[in-house]
Amino acid sequence: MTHGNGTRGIFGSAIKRREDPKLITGRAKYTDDLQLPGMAYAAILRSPFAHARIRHIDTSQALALEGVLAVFTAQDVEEAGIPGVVPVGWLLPTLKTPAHPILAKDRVRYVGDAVAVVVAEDRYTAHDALEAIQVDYEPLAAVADVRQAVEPGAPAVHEEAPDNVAFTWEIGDREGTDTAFQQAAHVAKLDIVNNRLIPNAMEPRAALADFDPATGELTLYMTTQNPHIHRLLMSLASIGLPEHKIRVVAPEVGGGFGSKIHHYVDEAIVSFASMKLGRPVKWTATRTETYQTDAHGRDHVTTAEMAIDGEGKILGVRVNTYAAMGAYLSTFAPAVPTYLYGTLLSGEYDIPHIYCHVTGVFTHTTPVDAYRGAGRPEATLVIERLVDECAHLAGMDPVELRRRNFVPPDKFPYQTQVALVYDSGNYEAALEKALEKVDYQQFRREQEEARRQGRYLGIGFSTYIEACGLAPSALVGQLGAQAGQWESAVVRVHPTGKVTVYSGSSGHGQGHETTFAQIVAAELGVPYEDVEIVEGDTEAIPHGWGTYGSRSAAVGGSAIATAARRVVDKAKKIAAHLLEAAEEDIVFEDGKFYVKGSPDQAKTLAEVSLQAYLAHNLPKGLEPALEATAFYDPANFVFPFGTHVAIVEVDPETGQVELKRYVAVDDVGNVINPLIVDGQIHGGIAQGVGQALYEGAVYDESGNLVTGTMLDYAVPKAHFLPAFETDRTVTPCPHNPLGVKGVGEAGTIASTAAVVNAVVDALRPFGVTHLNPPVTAEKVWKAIHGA
Amino acid sequence: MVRLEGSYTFDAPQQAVWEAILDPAVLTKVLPGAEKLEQVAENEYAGVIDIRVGPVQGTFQGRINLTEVDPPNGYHMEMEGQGRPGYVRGEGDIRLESASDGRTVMHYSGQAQLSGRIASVGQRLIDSTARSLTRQALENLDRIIQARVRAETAGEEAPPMPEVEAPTVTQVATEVAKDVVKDVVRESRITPQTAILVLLAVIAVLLLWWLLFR
Repeated sequence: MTHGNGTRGIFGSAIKRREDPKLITGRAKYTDDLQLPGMAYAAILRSPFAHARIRHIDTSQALALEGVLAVFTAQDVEEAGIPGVVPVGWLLPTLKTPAHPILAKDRVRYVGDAVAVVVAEDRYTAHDALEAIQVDYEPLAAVADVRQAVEPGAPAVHEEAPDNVAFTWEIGDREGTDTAFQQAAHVAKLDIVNNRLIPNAMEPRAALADFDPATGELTLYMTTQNPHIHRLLMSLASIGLPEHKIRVVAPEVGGGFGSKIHHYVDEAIVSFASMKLGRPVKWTATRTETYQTDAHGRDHVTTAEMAIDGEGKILGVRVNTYAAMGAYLSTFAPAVPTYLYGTLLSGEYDIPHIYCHVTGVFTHTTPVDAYRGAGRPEATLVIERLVDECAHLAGMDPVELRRRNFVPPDKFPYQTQVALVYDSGNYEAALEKALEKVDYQQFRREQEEARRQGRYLGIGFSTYIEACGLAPSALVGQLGAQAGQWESAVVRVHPTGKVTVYSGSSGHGQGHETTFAQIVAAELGVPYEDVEIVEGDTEAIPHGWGTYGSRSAAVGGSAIATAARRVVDKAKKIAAHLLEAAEEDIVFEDGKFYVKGSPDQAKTLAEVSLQAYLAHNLPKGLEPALEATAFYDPANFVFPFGTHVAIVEVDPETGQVELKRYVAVDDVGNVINPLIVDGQIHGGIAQGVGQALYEGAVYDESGNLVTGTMLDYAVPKAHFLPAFETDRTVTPCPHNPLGVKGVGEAGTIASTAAVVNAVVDALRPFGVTHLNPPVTAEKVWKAIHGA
Repeated sequence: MVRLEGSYTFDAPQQAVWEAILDPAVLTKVLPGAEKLEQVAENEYAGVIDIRVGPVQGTFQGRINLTEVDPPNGYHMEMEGQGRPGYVRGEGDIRLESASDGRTVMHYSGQAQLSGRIASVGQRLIDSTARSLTRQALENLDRIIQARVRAETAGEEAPPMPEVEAPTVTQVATEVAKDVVKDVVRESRITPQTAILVLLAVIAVLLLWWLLFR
């Protein structure tokens, strides 16, 4: 699918990722692989207490160790006169914004809070020296649980919020919803926990800061999903160098899932150290540090209700959520449980009344922020569990209740009661396709038969929608974003016709080098091999906002397509001049320009480009060279949707849940590369299954992260999962030039709810109506045995 | 939070037990991993103890304060320690009771709060490890008290420290590993495959230990 006339069938073809050979042969360069002359190594001392006063820090023994270059604490940051705080990038009207210093001053607020940094000649000395720093802590009472944190008398995380309430927020119509509930034939009410998750990017976070005292320029190589955001925040808030004196580079980045969006203290700390020492300083997180300091995801406690009438029509939805912020407000933390959550509570359904209230809560824990899906998996779990429970109460098939409430295809654009306007959709088509694939009626018969034999099978549906492709800038600005969300692209055709594309997106595993080259090859009609994609360097690329929120195809890709079309427009003018014809008579097809009716007299793009650069014979008034820049601001979010179906078997003896089948029918609009779309869906499903069955960060009552290693935190492994059966429907996005939507988060958004619904379905004979994820064997066993 | 509670019966009179549990020289020998324990003031002890919990190992420096000392019936203690593996703060009670047959029952209870690496990495093994260390300490203590009582009965001048060897690091580790496996077996329904895996894991740990400390 392409609007340019360069048609080579490359758009939509399942070619293998061009980045993979270097990644799987170990030739790709990640931040930690970089070595600069004179480089020193940093190690960061982390608080062992969830809450403590720092009485005194004695660094003298550490400084005395051979090979230690410096030890810095909050006092050094203060004396240097830099701003020294990391900011929050999304404001809400009631939001309390206590400062988050890059090194803790006087007080630590979670296990992992940065207290001091050692810089040494080598990594081992730096880590050894951490143990020589004497910190005199006065431990204080801590609170890690989001509900306990808002109880009267709970220890306060910040003086600015003595009740630990970071914000309250609401959306929808409270009175209207209350009234609707009075008409209900059935009301489902569930207490739903969205468990706290720890991101597990394969590559730990790392930063290498290189400050050049001669030029006053700071170059920062780091694990980032959005180098320009990091540069902006470093300049505005943490380091305070002018923006043009900071260059942020993202070398190869090994996964992020949101955790590498945020501006952490660590990159500011190494930048500060490099500025103080005039030497490059590198820091790489240990796996324990990633567990303790990468922003976590989810951690909601919710009371949710849904009212239906006698025919199974949804009358209203009422939701009250407590969402943990952790100890400090991470970069986009306030947006996640509000505008990325409350706005999704209409699901795929035509719901006349919705009301949602959210309390953001400080706790003595690792900060919480966007993690794959960010708000939308939480909303999907809430709404899809409620639909199932309503069907149960009404004695209806959960599929039938969904069907009766879908927004019908002729009702788009559809204005929900929670701000969003769904631009397109065909929900029943995806559902029907999924039902056919699982053979639903046959499954129900098998389930009956199995129950008679004492085996417990369950089927769970998640007819999900999500809003991604972040985002229309003016709209998010009204909602509190301190950032724009358009994207930039430069398409540069070289004199020989080869093409380099500079994108403000910043991939870290998504396959941009492949899909973006497919877009450009299709738009310009040049061989795919002739297109190079450059990302992740603030010096090479115009301002951009990076990769998150499933935005890179829909927004970044649209910017690239727009720039490519501008290149074609200019080339057409030159071709017309060379062919001595009117511009309107020029046809562009398969990478060639010709006069209508005379395709044998064609000029290739390379020929045109060479002339554009030689500039010996250009149309009057036309500038030389052949390149174009686009800044693409989307008109709306994009709305991928689909139906995911999970089939499980529960062993009543042990409580063990086996995921037997998983069917996913997704509608992500036009598909650039089916292989990459499937890959994204597969990975997404696995992460959502992780939330449903395995993962969950646990803090003890003192605020220690008990699940502090991969030994204690269950990431799903390949053999836990069945072969996924994926399929698609295609409803193109009506408002972007490629008709594409996002796919990076869809699998995660859908799958948790599907799996939890399947487990509850399996356990219906035991009278089980709800289980909170992670649905571990222990939880299931207790539910069966009423323990 | 680690909680410990239990009782132990010594085949010795209450006074002998009481004297032993206030004697830093005895305690150094019986506490697994204790490197040093000194009385620094009345009812105040300072010491160094080497502890390994799962993958976390290191030296704690700590202080113990005894309060509510009621000879020969018991005391309350508060302790605080810190070191490479993290921080420990706790309190406990020891109570001695004469049994009718001339033996002495010790009731002990306590709880400790942990922070740092020992809390985040070792947590799953802490309860088992703490129980194991306690068991080993009490058995060692019993042996020393027995030896003292025997010496006294034989009319010898009670040797201040009978020839009881403090356990080696390897012995302590072996005992902890055994107890952890016992706990695992007790707490979960174990399949033969898992049992073999656990056994292999224990062998691997011991091998590692041998390599490190031989």
